Amino acid sequence: MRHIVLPLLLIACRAEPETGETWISPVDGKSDVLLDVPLRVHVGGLQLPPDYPLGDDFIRVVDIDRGGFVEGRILLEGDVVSFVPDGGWEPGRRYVWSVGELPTLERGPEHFFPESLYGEALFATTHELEVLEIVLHHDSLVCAVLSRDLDAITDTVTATLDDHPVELGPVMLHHEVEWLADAPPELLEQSVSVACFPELEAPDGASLRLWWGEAPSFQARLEGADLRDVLIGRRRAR
Amino acid sequence: MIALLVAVAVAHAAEAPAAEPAAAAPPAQAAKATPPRPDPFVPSGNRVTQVGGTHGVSIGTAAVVGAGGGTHVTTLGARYADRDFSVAVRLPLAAYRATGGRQTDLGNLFLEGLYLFERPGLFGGGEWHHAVGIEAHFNPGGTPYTWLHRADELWPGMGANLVYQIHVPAAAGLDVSVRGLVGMHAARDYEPYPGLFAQIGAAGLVDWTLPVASQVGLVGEMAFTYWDLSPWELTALVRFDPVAGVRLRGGALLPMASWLGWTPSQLDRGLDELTLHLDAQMAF
Repeated sequence: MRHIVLPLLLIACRAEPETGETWISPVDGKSDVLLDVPLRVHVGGLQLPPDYPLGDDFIRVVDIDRGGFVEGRILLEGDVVSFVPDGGWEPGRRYVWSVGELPTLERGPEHFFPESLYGEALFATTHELEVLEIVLHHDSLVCAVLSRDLDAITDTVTATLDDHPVELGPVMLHHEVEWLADAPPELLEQSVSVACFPELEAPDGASLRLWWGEAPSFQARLEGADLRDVLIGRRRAR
Repeated sequence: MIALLVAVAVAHAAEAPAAEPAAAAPPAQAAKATPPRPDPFVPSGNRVTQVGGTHGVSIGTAAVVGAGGGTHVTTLGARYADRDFSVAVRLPLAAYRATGGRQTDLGNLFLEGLYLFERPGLFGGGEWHHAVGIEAHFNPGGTPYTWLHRADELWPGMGANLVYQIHVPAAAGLDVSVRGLVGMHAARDYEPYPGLFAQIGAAGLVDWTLPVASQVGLVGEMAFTYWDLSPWELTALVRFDPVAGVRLRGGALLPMASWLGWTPSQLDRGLDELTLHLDAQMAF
Protein backbone atom coordinates (compact mmCIF):
# COMPACT_ATOMS: atom_id res chain seq x y z
CA MET A 1 0.00 0.00 0.00
CA ARG A 2 2.84 2.35 0.84
CA HIS A 3 4.17 1.93 -2.69
CA ILE A 4 0.95 3.44 -4.01
CA VAL A 5 0.29 6.13 -1.45
CA LEU A 6 3.74 7.67 -1.38
CA PRO A 7 3.98 8.44 -5.11
CA LEU A 8 0.46 9.85 -5.04
CA LEU A 9 1.36 12.16 -2.20
CA LEU A 10 4.55 13.20 -3.91
CA ILE A 11 2.70 14.01 -7.10
CA ALA A 12 0.15 15.96 -5.12
CA CYS A 13 2.89 18.00 -3.53
CA ARG A 14 3.94 21.28 -5.05
CA ALA A 15 6.09 21.41 -8.14
CA GLU A 16 7.55 24.55 -9.66
CA PRO A 17 5.66 25.56 -12.77
CA GLU A 18 7.78 25.03 -15.83
CA THR A 19 8.75 28.15 -17.69
CA GLY A 20 10.32 28.27 -21.08
CA GLU A 21 12.73 30.80 -22.43
CA THR A 22 12.46 34.41 -21.42
CA TRP A 23 13.34 37.41 -23.53
CA ILE A 24 13.03 41.15 -23.24
CA SER A 25 12.80 43.70 -26.01
CA PRO A 26 14.50 46.03 -26.63
CA VAL A 27 17.81 44.53 -25.58
CA ASP A 28 19.42 46.10 -22.50
CA GLY A 29 21.40 49.17 -23.63
CA LYS A 30 19.67 49.58 -26.97
CA SER A 31 19.60 53.10 -28.46
CA ASP A 32 17.68 54.38 -31.44
CA VAL A 33 14.51 52.72 -30.21
CA LEU A 34 11.49 53.62 -32.31
CA LEU A 35 9.02 55.94 -30.62
CA ASP A 36 6.02 53.66 -31.04
CA VAL A 37 7.57 50.34 -30.03
CA PRO A 38 6.26 48.83 -26.81
CA LEU A 39 8.47 47.13 -24.27
CA ARG A 40 7.98 43.38 -24.39
CA VAL A 41 8.62 40.58 -21.96
CA HIS A 42 8.30 37.12 -23.42
CA VAL A 43 7.94 34.17 -21.06
CA GLY A 44 7.75 30.84 -22.80
CA GLY A 45 5.01 28.70 -21.38
CA LEU A 46 3.33 31.62 -19.67
CA GLN A 47 -0.19 30.43 -18.97
CA LEU A 48 -2.45 33.07 -17.55
CA PRO A 49 -6.10 33.84 -18.22
CA PRO A 50 -6.61 36.54 -20.85
CA ASP A 51 -7.96 39.03 -18.35
CA TYR A 52 -5.52 38.18 -15.60
CA PRO A 53 -4.82 41.35 -13.61
CA LEU A 54 -1.08 41.96 -13.79
CA GLY A 55 -1.10 45.16 -11.77
CA ASP A 56 -0.08 48.64 -12.86
CA ASP A 57 3.47 48.35 -11.59
CA PHE A 58 4.33 45.00 -13.11
CA ILE A 59 6.51 46.86 -15.64
CA ARG A 60 7.84 50.20 -14.45
CA VAL A 61 9.62 52.68 -16.69
CA VAL A 62 11.54 55.73 -15.53
CA ASP A 63 12.49 58.65 -17.74
CA ILE A 64 16.14 59.16 -16.80
CA ASP A 65 16.49 62.57 -18.43
CA ARG A 66 13.35 64.14 -17.05
CA GLY A 67 12.75 61.94 -14.02
CA GLY A 68 9.54 60.25 -12.94
CA PHE A 69 7.63 57.19 -14.00
CA VAL A 70 6.29 56.83 -17.52
CA GLU A 71 2.54 56.29 -17.72
CA GLY A 72 1.39 53.44 -19.89
CA ARG A 73 -0.73 50.34 -20.28
CA ILE A 74 0.32 46.80 -19.52
CA LEU A 75 -1.07 44.21 -21.88
CA LEU A 76 -1.00 40.43 -21.73
CA GLU A 77 -1.14 38.63 -25.08
CA GLY A 78 -0.37 34.94 -24.96
CA ASP A 79 3.08 34.59 -23.47
CA VAL A 80 4.10 38.22 -24.04
CA VAL A 81 3.56 41.04 -21.58
CA SER A 82 3.86 44.50 -23.16
CA PHE A 83 4.18 48.01 -21.84
CA VAL A 84 2.67 50.58 -24.19
CA PRO A 85 3.57 54.15 -23.19
CA ASP A 86 0.78 56.67 -23.29
CA GLY A 87 1.54 58.82 -26.31
CA GLY A 88 4.68 56.87 -27.24
CA TRP A 89 8.28 57.47 -26.20
CA GLU A 90 9.76 60.96 -26.25
CA PRO A 91 12.54 61.48 -28.82
CA GLY A 92 16.07 61.93 -27.57
CA ARG A 93 15.43 60.40 -24.16
CA ARG A 94 16.96 57.64 -22.07
CA TYR A 95 14.83 55.27 -20.06
CA VAL A 96 15.34 52.53 -17.52
CA TRP A 97 12.75 49.83 -16.94
CA SER A 98 12.27 46.78 -14.80
CA VAL A 99 9.91 43.85 -14.43
CA GLY A 100 8.29 43.46 -11.05
CA GLU A 101 6.94 40.49 -9.21
CA LEU A 102 3.87 38.94 -10.73
CA PRO A 103 1.05 39.63 -8.28
CA THR A 104 0.20 36.50 -6.37
CA LEU A 105 -3.48 35.97 -5.88
CA GLU A 106 -4.73 33.85 -3.04
CA ARG A 107 -6.32 30.80 -4.59
CA GLY A 108 -5.75 32.04 -8.10
CA PRO A 109 -3.67 31.37 -11.19
CA GLU A 110 -0.05 31.03 -10.24
CA HIS A 111 3.06 31.80 -12.16
CA PHE A 112 6.52 32.56 -10.97
CA PHE A 113 8.82 34.41 -13.31
CA PRO A 114 12.40 33.23 -13.47
CA GLU A 115 15.01 35.30 -11.69
CA SER A 116 16.64 36.10 -15.02
CA LEU A 117 13.87 38.58 -15.80
CA TYR A 118 14.44 40.75 -12.79
CA GLY A 119 16.81 43.69 -12.83
CA GLU A 120 16.92 46.98 -14.67
CA ALA A 121 17.41 47.43 -18.39
CA LEU A 122 18.22 50.61 -20.28
CA PHE A 123 17.11 51.88 -23.63
CA ALA A 124 17.17 55.22 -25.40
CA THR A 125 15.44 56.95 -28.25
CA THR A 126 18.63 58.88 -29.04
CA HIS A 127 20.52 58.11 -32.25
CA GLU A 128 23.89 58.02 -30.51
CA LEU A 129 25.90 54.87 -30.85
CA GLU A 130 27.60 53.52 -27.77
CA VAL A 131 29.88 50.62 -27.13
CA LEU A 132 28.08 48.53 -24.54
CA GLU A 133 30.57 45.77 -23.91
CA ILE A 134 33.86 44.36 -25.22
CA VAL A 135 34.61 40.67 -24.85
CA LEU A 136 37.19 38.15 -25.93
CA HIS A 137 34.92 35.74 -27.78
CA HIS A 138 36.16 32.20 -27.28
CA ASP A 139 39.37 33.65 -25.78
CA SER A 140 40.61 34.84 -29.16
CA LEU A 141 38.30 37.19 -31.07
CA VAL A 142 37.84 40.74 -29.78
CA CYS A 143 34.22 41.82 -30.24
CA ALA A 144 32.30 44.93 -29.19
CA VAL A 145 28.58 44.94 -28.56
CA LEU A 146 27.12 48.16 -29.99
CA SER A 147 23.98 49.94 -28.87
CA ARG A 148 22.19 49.79 -32.19
CA ASP A 149 21.97 47.92 -35.42
CA LEU A 150 24.47 48.98 -38.11
CA ASP A 151 24.43 48.07 -41.77
CA ALA A 152 27.84 49.57 -42.43
CA ILE A 153 30.61 51.26 -40.53
CA THR A 154 30.79 54.94 -41.40
CA ASP A 155 32.60 56.16 -38.29
CA THR A 156 36.28 56.13 -37.52
CA VAL A 157 37.18 53.42 -35.05
CA THR A 158 40.43 53.55 -33.09
CA ALA A 159 41.74 51.72 -30.06
CA THR A 160 44.52 51.41 -27.53
CA LEU A 161 45.64 48.18 -25.93
CA ASP A 162 47.13 48.68 -22.49
CA ASP A 163 47.32 52.38 -23.40
CA HIS A 164 49.31 51.72 -26.60
CA PRO A 165 47.68 52.55 -29.96
CA VAL A 166 46.92 49.42 -31.99
CA GLU A 167 45.85 48.71 -35.55
CA LEU A 168 42.37 47.25 -35.51
CA GLY A 169 42.43 45.96 -39.06
CA PRO A 170 39.18 45.08 -40.81
CA VAL A 171 36.00 45.21 -38.76
CA MET A 172 33.41 42.49 -39.21
CA LEU A 173 29.84 43.55 -38.47
CA HIS A 174 27.39 40.97 -37.19
CA HIS A 175 23.73 41.20 -36.32
CA GLU A 176 22.50 40.03 -32.96
CA VAL A 177 20.22 37.51 -34.62
CA GLU A 178 23.25 35.51 -35.77
CA TRP A 179 23.73 34.41 -32.19
CA LEU A 180 20.10 34.42 -31.12
CA ALA A 181 18.42 32.65 -33.98
CA ASP A 182 16.18 30.83 -31.53
CA ALA A 183 14.63 34.03 -30.16
CA PRO A 184 11.10 34.96 -31.19
CA PRO A 185 11.61 37.04 -34.38
CA GLU A 186 9.35 39.88 -33.26
CA LEU A 187 11.54 40.41 -30.24
CA LEU A 188 14.67 40.86 -32.34
CA GLU A 189 13.26 43.79 -34.27
CA GLN A 190 14.87 46.10 -31.76
CA SER A 191 18.29 44.53 -31.95
CA VAL A 192 21.92 45.57 -31.84
CA SER A 193 25.05 44.84 -33.84
CA VAL A 194 28.32 43.31 -32.82
CA ALA A 195 31.64 44.48 -34.28
CA CYS A 196 34.51 41.99 -34.27
CA PHE A 197 38.18 42.62 -34.98
CA PRO A 198 39.68 39.38 -36.34
CA GLU A 199 43.19 40.77 -36.80
CA LEU A 200 43.48 42.33 -33.38
CA GLU A 201 45.53 40.12 -31.11
CA ALA A 202 44.77 40.85 -27.51
CA PRO A 203 45.58 38.63 -24.54
CA ASP A 204 43.10 37.78 -21.83
CA GLY A 205 43.26 40.47 -19.14
CA ALA A 206 44.53 43.25 -21.41
CA SER A 207 42.95 46.68 -21.17
CA LEU A 208 41.30 47.78 -24.41
CA ARG A 209 39.98 51.29 -24.97
CA LEU A 210 37.82 51.87 -28.02
CA TRP A 211 36.77 55.10 -29.72
CA TRP A 212 33.82 54.75 -32.08
CA GLY A 213 33.14 57.94 -33.98
CA GLU A 214 32.04 60.67 -31.67
CA ALA A 215 30.83 58.33 -28.96
CA PRO A 216 32.60 58.48 -25.62
CA SER A 217 35.49 56.05 -25.39
CA PHE A 218 34.77 52.67 -23.82
CA GLN A 219 37.38 50.83 -21.83
CA ALA A 220 37.23 47.21 -20.79
CA ARG A 221 39.54 44.59 -19.38
CA LEU A 222 39.29 41.72 -21.80
CA GLU A 223 37.83 38.51 -20.50
CA GLY A 224 37.04 35.34 -22.33
CA ALA A 225 33.32 34.91 -22.97
CA ASP A 226 30.84 33.49 -25.39
CA LEU A 227 29.07 36.22 -27.33
CA ARG A 228 25.82 34.30 -27.23
CA ASP A 229 25.95 34.26 -23.44
CA VAL A 230 26.65 37.98 -23.40
CA LEU A 231 23.71 38.74 -25.65
CA ILE A 232 21.46 36.34 -23.80
CA GLY A 233 22.29 38.18 -20.60
CA ARG A 234 21.30 41.49 -22.17
CA ARG A 235 18.04 39.91 -23.34
CA ARG A 236 17.36 38.52 -19.86
CA ALA A 237 17.07 35.21 -21.64
CA ARG A 238 17.69 31.75 -20.31
CA MET B 1 -56.50 -36.50 29.70
CA ILE B 2 -54.31 -37.15 26.71
CA ALA B 3 -57.31 -37.17 24.49
CA LEU B 4 -58.32 -33.82 26.01
CA LEU B 5 -54.89 -32.33 25.34
CA VAL B 6 -54.90 -33.59 21.76
CA ALA B 7 -58.38 -32.20 21.29
CA VAL B 8 -57.29 -28.77 22.61
CA ALA B 9 -54.20 -28.81 20.42
CA VAL B 10 -56.18 -29.70 17.32
CA ALA B 11 -58.74 -27.08 18.16
CA HIS B 12 -55.97 -24.41 18.62
CA ALA B 13 -54.38 -25.44 15.39
CA ALA B 14 -57.69 -25.15 13.64
CA GLU B 15 -58.31 -21.73 15.18
CA ALA B 16 -54.84 -20.34 14.55
CA PRO B 17 -55.32 -19.34 10.86
CA ALA B 18 -58.53 -17.67 11.79
CA ALA B 19 -56.78 -15.76 14.57
CA GLU B 20 -54.17 -14.15 12.24
CA PRO B 21 -56.64 -12.02 10.23
CA ALA B 22 -58.29 -11.01 13.44
CA ALA B 23 -54.95 -9.64 14.76
CA ALA B 24 -54.16 -7.87 11.48
CA ALA B 25 -55.69 -4.61 10.40
CA PRO B 26 -59.08 -4.70 8.80
CA PRO B 27 -58.97 -5.10 4.98
CA ALA B 28 -60.24 -1.58 4.41
CA GLN B 29 -57.45 -0.09 6.55
CA ALA B 30 -54.72 -2.23 4.92
CA ALA B 31 -55.62 -0.86 1.50
CA LYS B 32 -55.01 2.69 2.70
CA ALA B 33 -51.59 1.95 4.29
CA THR B 34 -48.55 3.75 2.69
CA PRO B 35 -44.85 3.02 3.04
CA PRO B 36 -43.28 4.82 5.95
CA ARG B 37 -42.04 8.27 4.99
CA PRO B 38 -38.24 8.17 4.66
CA ASP B 39 -36.07 10.23 6.92
CA PRO B 40 -36.07 13.59 5.12
CA PHE B 41 -32.40 14.21 5.89
CA VAL B 42 -29.98 11.41 5.19
CA PRO B 43 -26.72 12.26 6.97
CA SER B 44 -24.35 14.22 4.77
CA GLY B 45 -21.14 16.14 5.20
CA ASN B 46 -18.97 18.11 2.83
CA ARG B 47 -17.97 15.42 0.34
CA VAL B 48 -20.55 12.83 1.37
CA THR B 49 -23.73 14.16 -0.18
CA GLN B 50 -27.30 13.63 0.82
CA VAL B 51 -28.51 10.57 -1.00
CA GLY B 52 -32.14 9.57 -0.73
CA GLY B 53 -34.32 11.25 1.82
CA THR B 54 -37.01 13.43 0.34
CA HIS B 55 -37.16 16.33 -2.08
CA GLY B 56 -35.71 19.54 -0.84
CA VAL B 57 -33.72 22.66 -1.38
CA SER B 58 -30.69 24.07 0.34
CA ILE B 59 -28.54 27.13 0.59
CA GLY B 60 -25.07 27.07 2.03
CA THR B 61 -22.18 29.39 2.47
CA ALA B 62 -18.54 28.66 3.05
CA ALA B 63 -15.79 31.18 3.65
CA VAL B 64 -12.07 30.80 4.08
CA VAL B 65 -10.83 32.71 7.07
CA GLY B 66 -7.23 33.34 7.97
CA ALA B 67 -4.20 34.45 6.03
CA GLY B 68 -5.37 32.77 2.86
CA GLY B 69 -8.92 33.94 3.31
CA GLY B 70 -11.18 36.03 1.20
CA THR B 71 -12.78 33.37 -0.94
CA HIS B 72 -16.47 32.97 -0.22
CA VAL B 73 -18.84 30.55 -1.87
CA THR B 74 -22.62 30.49 -1.68
CA THR B 75 -24.20 27.33 -3.01
CA LEU B 76 -27.81 26.86 -4.03
CA GLY B 77 -29.03 23.31 -4.23
CA ALA B 78 -32.11 21.25 -4.97
CA ARG B 79 -32.74 17.54 -4.93
CA TYR B 80 -35.44 15.15 -5.98
CA ALA B 81 -35.52 11.77 -4.34
CA ASP B 82 -37.68 8.80 -5.15
CA ARG B 83 -37.57 5.31 -3.72
CA ASP B 84 -35.12 4.12 -6.34
CA PHE B 85 -33.27 7.19 -7.49
CA SER B 86 -32.08 10.57 -6.41
CA VAL B 87 -31.27 13.60 -8.52
CA ALA B 88 -29.53 16.71 -7.24
CA VAL B 89 -28.33 19.97 -8.70
CA ARG B 90 -26.02 22.55 -7.12
CA LEU B 91 -24.77 25.91 -8.30
CA PRO B 92 -21.98 27.69 -6.43
CA LEU B 93 -21.53 31.44 -6.61
CA ALA B 94 -18.03 32.68 -5.81
CA ALA B 95 -16.80 35.95 -4.39
CA TYR B 96 -13.04 36.26 -4.19
CA ARG B 97 -10.12 38.63 -4.07
CA ALA B 98 -8.33 39.65 -7.23
CA THR B 99 -5.69 42.27 -7.98
CA GLY B 100 -8.28 44.54 -9.51
CA GLY B 101 -10.59 44.23 -6.50
CA ARG B 102 -13.20 41.82 -5.30
CA GLN B 103 -14.88 39.77 -8.00
CA THR B 104 -17.97 37.61 -8.13
CA ASP B 105 -18.72 34.88 -10.62
CA LEU B 106 -20.62 31.67 -11.28
CA GLY B 107 -18.95 28.42 -10.38
CA ASN B 108 -19.53 25.05 -11.99
CA LEU B 109 -23.04 23.64 -12.19
CA PHE B 110 -23.23 20.25 -10.49
CA LEU B 111 -25.59 17.47 -11.48
CA GLU B 112 -25.83 14.22 -9.57
CA GLY B 113 -27.94 11.24 -10.45
CA LEU B 114 -27.89 8.12 -8.29
CA TYR B 115 -29.63 4.78 -8.33
CA LEU B 116 -30.61 3.68 -4.83
CA PHE B 117 -30.94 0.16 -3.54
CA GLU B 118 -30.68 -1.73 -0.30
CA ARG B 119 -28.73 -4.81 0.66
CA PRO B 120 -28.36 -6.68 3.91
CA GLY B 121 -25.52 -5.38 6.01
CA LEU B 122 -22.24 -7.22 6.26
CA PHE B 123 -22.20 -7.68 10.00
CA GLY B 124 -25.66 -8.99 10.59
CA GLY B 125 -27.24 -5.59 11.08
CA GLY B 126 -30.13 -4.10 9.17
CA GLU B 127 -30.28 -3.01 5.59
CA TRP B 128 -27.49 -0.87 4.15
CA HIS B 129 -28.50 1.86 1.74
CA HIS B 130 -26.41 1.88 -1.41
CA ALA B 131 -26.25 4.49 -4.14
CA VAL B 132 -24.38 4.34 -7.40
CA GLY B 133 -24.35 6.94 -10.12
CA ILE B 134 -22.69 9.89 -11.73
CA GLU B 135 -21.81 13.35 -10.53
CA ALA B 136 -20.95 15.73 -13.33
CA HIS B 137 -20.12 19.40 -13.55
CA PHE B 138 -19.67 21.98 -16.25
CA ASN B 139 -19.11 25.67 -16.37
CA PRO B 140 -22.20 27.66 -17.36
CA GLY B 141 -20.14 30.66 -18.50
CA GLY B 142 -18.34 32.06 -15.50
CA THR B 143 -14.60 32.43 -15.17
CA PRO B 144 -13.87 32.31 -11.46
CA TYR B 145 -10.18 31.40 -11.51
CA THR B 146 -10.17 30.48 -7.87
CA TRP B 147 -11.06 27.60 -5.60
CA LEU B 148 -12.30 26.98 -2.13
CA HIS B 149 -11.12 23.40 -1.65
CA ARG B 150 -12.69 21.17 -4.26
CA ALA B 151 -10.93 21.22 -7.59
CA ASP B 152 -14.16 20.87 -9.54
CA GLU B 153 -16.29 23.46 -7.75
CA LEU B 154 -15.32 26.88 -9.14
CA TRP B 155 -12.39 26.84 -11.55
CA PRO B 156 -13.82 26.72 -15.10
CA GLY B 157 -13.94 23.18 -16.36
CA MET B 158 -16.04 20.12 -16.86
CA GLY B 159 -15.93 16.49 -15.89
CA ALA B 160 -17.69 13.57 -14.29
CA ASN B 161 -17.14 11.09 -11.51
CA LEU B 162 -18.60 7.65 -11.01
CA VAL B 163 -19.67 7.62 -7.38
CA TYR B 164 -20.67 4.91 -4.95
CA GLN B 165 -22.04 5.75 -1.55
CA ILE B 166 -23.17 3.54 1.28
CA HIS B 167 -25.20 4.68 4.26
CA VAL B 168 -25.17 2.41 7.28
CA PRO B 169 -27.59 2.99 10.16
CA ALA B 170 -25.05 1.59 12.57
CA ALA B 171 -26.98 2.01 15.80
CA ALA B 172 -29.75 4.06 17.25
CA GLY B 173 -28.73 7.66 16.60
CA LEU B 174 -25.51 6.68 14.91
CA ASP B 175 -25.09 6.70 11.13
CA VAL B 176 -22.02 5.95 9.09
CA SER B 177 -21.58 6.77 5.41
CA VAL B 178 -18.75 6.18 3.00
CA ARG B 179 -18.37 7.51 -0.51
CA GLY B 180 -15.95 6.61 -3.24
CA LEU B 181 -15.44 8.24 -6.60
CA VAL B 182 -13.35 7.98 -9.72
CA GLY B 183 -13.54 10.19 -12.77
CA MET B 184 -11.94 12.44 -15.34
CA HIS B 185 -11.98 16.22 -15.50
CA ALA B 186 -10.88 18.96 -17.82
CA ALA B 187 -10.03 22.43 -16.59
CA ARG B 188 -8.57 25.65 -17.94
CA ASP B 189 -4.90 24.90 -18.10
CA TYR B 190 -3.43 27.60 -15.87
CA GLU B 191 -1.25 26.81 -12.88
CA PRO B 192 -1.90 25.18 -10.51
CA TYR B 193 -4.52 23.32 -12.57
CA PRO B 194 -3.59 20.73 -15.16
CA GLY B 195 -5.65 20.80 -18.33
CA LEU B 196 -6.81 17.24 -17.80
CA PHE B 197 -6.78 15.27 -14.60
CA ALA B 198 -8.15 12.08 -13.16
CA GLN B 199 -9.80 12.05 -9.79
CA ILE B 200 -10.08 9.30 -7.26
CA GLY B 201 -11.39 9.85 -3.80
CA ALA B 202 -12.87 8.38 -0.67
CA ALA B 203 -14.72 9.95 2.20
CA GLY B 204 -16.11 8.63 5.45
CA LEU B 205 -18.72 10.25 7.64
CA VAL B 206 -20.09 9.67 11.12
CA ASP B 207 -23.34 11.30 12.20
CA TRP B 208 -24.31 11.06 15.85
CA THR B 209 -27.63 12.27 17.20
CA LEU B 210 -27.34 13.50 20.75
CA PRO B 211 -29.29 11.22 23.11
CA VAL B 212 -30.45 14.16 25.19
CA ALA B 213 -31.70 16.23 22.24
CA SER B 214 -32.83 14.37 19.17
CA GLN B 215 -32.91 17.58 17.10
CA VAL B 216 -29.19 18.03 17.51
CA GLY B 217 -26.40 15.97 16.03
CA LEU B 218 -22.68 16.03 15.39
CA VAL B 219 -21.15 15.24 12.03
CA GLY B 220 -17.53 14.36 11.39
CA GLU B 221 -16.09 13.63 8.00
CA MET B 222 -12.66 12.82 6.59
CA ALA B 223 -11.97 12.86 2.88
CA PHE B 224 -9.08 12.02 0.61
CA THR B 225 -9.16 13.09 -3.01
CA TYR B 226 -6.54 13.05 -5.72
CA TRP B 227 -6.13 15.17 -7.86
CA ASP B 228 -7.44 18.00 -5.78
CA LEU B 229 -6.44 21.29 -4.23
CA SER B 230 -7.35 19.85 -0.85
CA PRO B 231 -6.27 16.21 -0.97
CA TRP B 232 -6.95 15.57 2.70
CA GLU B 233 -9.49 17.38 4.80
CA LEU B 234 -11.52 17.00 7.97
CA THR B 235 -14.96 18.46 8.46
CA ALA B 236 -16.78 18.96 11.76
CA LEU B 237 -20.39 20.14 11.78
CA VAL B 238 -23.17 20.60 14.29
CA ARG B 239 -26.66 20.08 12.92
CA PHE B 240 -29.91 21.30 14.39
CA ASP B 241 -33.46 20.58 13.26
CA PRO B 242 -35.56 23.43 14.74
CA VAL B 243 -38.77 22.18 13.14
CA ALA B 244 -39.67 19.16 11.07
CA GLY B 245 -38.29 19.50 7.54
CA VAL B 246 -35.68 22.12 8.33
CA ARG B 247 -32.05 21.41 9.14
CA LEU B 248 -29.42 23.98 9.98
CA ARG B 249 -25.74 23.09 9.99
CA GLY B 250 -22.62 24.94 10.96
CA GLY B 251 -19.01 24.04 11.43
CA ALA B 252 -15.57 24.13 9.95
CA LEU B 253 -13.48 22.39 7.35
CA LEU B 254 -9.86 21.80 8.25
CA PRO B 255 -7.66 21.59 5.13
CA MET B 256 -5.10 19.20 6.55
CA ALA B 257 -3.21 18.76 3.29
CA SER B 258 -2.91 22.50 2.77
CA TRP B 259 -1.62 22.91 6.28
CA LEU B 260 1.02 20.30 5.60
CA GLY B 261 1.92 21.71 2.19
CA TRP B 262 0.59 18.66 0.36
CA THR B 263 -1.20 20.64 -2.27
CA PRO B 264 -0.45 21.57 -5.87
CA SER B 265 -0.80 25.25 -4.99
CA GLN B 266 2.49 27.12 -4.67
CA LEU B 267 1.42 29.30 -1.79
CA ASP B 268 2.91 28.46 1.57
CA ARG B 269 -0.01 28.65 3.91
CA GLY B 270 0.82 26.55 6.88
CA LEU B 271 -1.61 26.30 9.73
CA ASP B 272 -3.18 29.68 9.14
CA GLU B 273 -6.57 29.15 7.56
CA LEU B 274 -9.75 27.16 7.83
CA THR B 275 -13.12 27.25 6.18
CA LEU B 276 -16.29 28.10 8.03
CA HIS B 277 -19.43 26.42 6.78
CA LEU B 278 -23.10 27.23 7.30
CA ASP B 279 -26.10 25.87 5.49
CA ALA B 280 -29.84 25.46 5.70
CA GLN B 281 -31.70 22.53 4.21
CA MET B 282 -35.42 22.17 3.69
CA ALA B 283 -37.18 18.89 3.00
CA PHE B 284 -40.66 18.63 1.54
